[in-house]
Amino acid sequence: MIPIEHVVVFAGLLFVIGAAGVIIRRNALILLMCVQLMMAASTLVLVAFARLHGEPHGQVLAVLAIVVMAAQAAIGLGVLVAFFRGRETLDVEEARELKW
Amino acid sequence: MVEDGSYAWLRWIPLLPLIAAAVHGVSLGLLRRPLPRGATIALSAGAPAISFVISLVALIELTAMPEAERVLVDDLFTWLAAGDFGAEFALLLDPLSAVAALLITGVGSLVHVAAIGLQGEDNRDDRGFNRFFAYLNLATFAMLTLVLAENLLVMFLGWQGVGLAAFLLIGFWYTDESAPRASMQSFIIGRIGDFGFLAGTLLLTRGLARQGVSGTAFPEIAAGFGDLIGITLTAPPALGGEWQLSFVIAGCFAIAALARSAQWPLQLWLSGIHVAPIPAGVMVLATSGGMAAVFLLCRLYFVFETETDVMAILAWCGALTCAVGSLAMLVRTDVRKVLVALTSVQLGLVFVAAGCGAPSVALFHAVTTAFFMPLLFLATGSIIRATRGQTDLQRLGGLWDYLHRTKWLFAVGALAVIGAPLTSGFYSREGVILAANLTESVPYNGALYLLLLATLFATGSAVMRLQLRIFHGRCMLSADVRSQVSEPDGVTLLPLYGFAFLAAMGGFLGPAAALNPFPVEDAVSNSLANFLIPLLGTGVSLEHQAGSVGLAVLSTFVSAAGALLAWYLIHERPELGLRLRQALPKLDVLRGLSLAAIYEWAIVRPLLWFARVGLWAGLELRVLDGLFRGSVRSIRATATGALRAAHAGRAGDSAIWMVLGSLAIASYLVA
Repeated sequence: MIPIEHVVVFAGLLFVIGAAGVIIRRNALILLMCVQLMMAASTLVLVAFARLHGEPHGQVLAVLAIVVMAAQAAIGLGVLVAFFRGRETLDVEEARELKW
Repeated sequence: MVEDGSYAWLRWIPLLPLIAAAVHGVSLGLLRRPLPRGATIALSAGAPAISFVISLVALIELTAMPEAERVLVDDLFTWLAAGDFGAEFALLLDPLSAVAALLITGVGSLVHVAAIGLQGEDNRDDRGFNRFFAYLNLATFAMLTLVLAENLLVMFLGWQGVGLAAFLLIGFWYTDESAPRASMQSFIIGRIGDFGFLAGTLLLTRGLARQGVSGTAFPEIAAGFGDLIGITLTAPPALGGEWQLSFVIAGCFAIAALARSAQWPLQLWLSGIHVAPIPAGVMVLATSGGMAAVFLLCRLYFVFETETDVMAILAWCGALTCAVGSLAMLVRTDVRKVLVALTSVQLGLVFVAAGCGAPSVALFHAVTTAFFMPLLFLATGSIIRATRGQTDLQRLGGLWDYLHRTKWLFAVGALAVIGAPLTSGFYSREGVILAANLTESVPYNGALYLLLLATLFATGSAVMRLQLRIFHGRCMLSADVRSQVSEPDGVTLLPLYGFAFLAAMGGFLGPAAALNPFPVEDAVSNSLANFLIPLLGTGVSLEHQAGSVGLAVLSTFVSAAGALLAWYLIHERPELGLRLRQALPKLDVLRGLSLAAIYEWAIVRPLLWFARVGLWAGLELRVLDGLFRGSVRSIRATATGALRAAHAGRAGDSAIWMVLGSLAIASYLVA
């Protein structure tokens, strides 16, 4: 079995990559994928600890999180498609009308 | 070779194609440098070929074991462990999966080799060649995972992979207008099947867990399933109140099988397959789609066996697919569409056999279909290539004098489809007819039987029509194209010879080998049926088949009559054929519209209406926007100044603040 430390460090790295992507990148599609990456990292930690303790709760939560992630991805993609149709770009810098 | 009772080398059967696909993925996606052509060919065609050799070794290993213990298991790791429930990531090779794995790797390798020739000059973008082989390898991997799975969860992984590979292969020419639409269609219909598979798995697992069986390994669920019979599910009264659990489970898996192999009423995605490259069409329909579905039916036969209602539904869905496909293959003028319809008819026959309680016959017909349909598809592929992309049957013709090898290869395939004696189709179709004739559990089995005979008649006509329209009559091609028509190169022809051999001789593998006129050793002649008996039961037994020579002759005679009629109409009385052809499309339009129109009016329009009128105009514009604007207005009235300046309204800034804010909260909570 893979030691828990490895999984946690791996998940931490994934999370940092995702967070860095959200801050640095400008393409809305990549932002969405980075958010997914962060959520996947936290899900991974849930599953890893659930296996460590041999209890199903963490995995149940992980499945729940996956379902929420799928729904979120669907909505996010829908917003992106609508955004792209309006502006022919996915650059988030172009989305500056959230104020109104 | 044996490590603590397990066979660790089994894993290489699916892993090799996966590695090949992964190498392509890395070179195309990450390095952006496609492998050179030679390396691509060696890697992509070599991987399934080596898998085939390993499968062969496994088969030999298996036959050396006593009949009751023929199972090889390779346990890779523990995939899921949640309380009592767990699933191993394990592969299982028993006679059923051995047959399927041999077919997928064997036929798959031939398709890979043929694709080298057919896709060779077909690069619309510079990475097309490598990308195509990456998809083919992925499809092979997914199919092998599916058939070698030890439990339902691993099988589901393979099932999803097959769906993904179909999506990628059908949409291969993604810059065309129609390909993305077709691949999307296949994917969405596939999701219906995936839902059935998942729902069936969940219900089965939960039901078994209540009986004290945890896990989804096939030997366990096969043993425990008997306890589920008689248990009822309570549904809301609107959904019919009480349901038999075993019926619902079988129904869910039936939906999965119907969707994956494009059976009526989930066959809408068939209409787009012809836009895919020919080897992709072969892979999606003849080898993976049909095989995946029939494998599911055979693997979970203990679920279906007791549910006569579900079996009847399967048989009738198969028969209706046959009927619809027969019409389509008679009137379509695109040669690829005719072949797609012909394949769907063969898969319909497979479902009829399965629904009539003869799973080994169903498997056998799926196997022979995977012999002769690729032959026809690939031969047609080389014809299309030789005529510079001409796919219209009205414009082809007179190629008999130009394609000296392809014409004979095509003829072998055509003979196998119409069940000429001694070819593979003769034996497997005869089994299907026999199963439909003997069954008593399917309602209106007389009508079913007649429908099958009509299908065989139509098959004969359609194949004869293909033969005449492609090879005979006047050549409609322009002179400069005609002068350049030439045989494909050896690398395309070689797999065609392989398929021709299988299509001609494959019958001797089968349960119908009792009809075998040649004195072959018993062990060889009856092998497939005997091999599968411990798993699938006898079904249609050999004694029955020995007494059914009449039926076999009848089915061949019916097809031959169909072929004769087509010859008469096209060759002797073209004016009559023309009038008939003008009348038939009216029927066909009726057919084409019906399913699509039902989907359109029952699902698409109400959803769109609900989204536009209910969600958008009603909920969003009136309720949500109103709430939002009102609250924003009141905030603006109270909190202005600094906060307002900080909010520039840029999505990117908001994202950054959100991440930093959550990090701040998280570090506060942790510290």
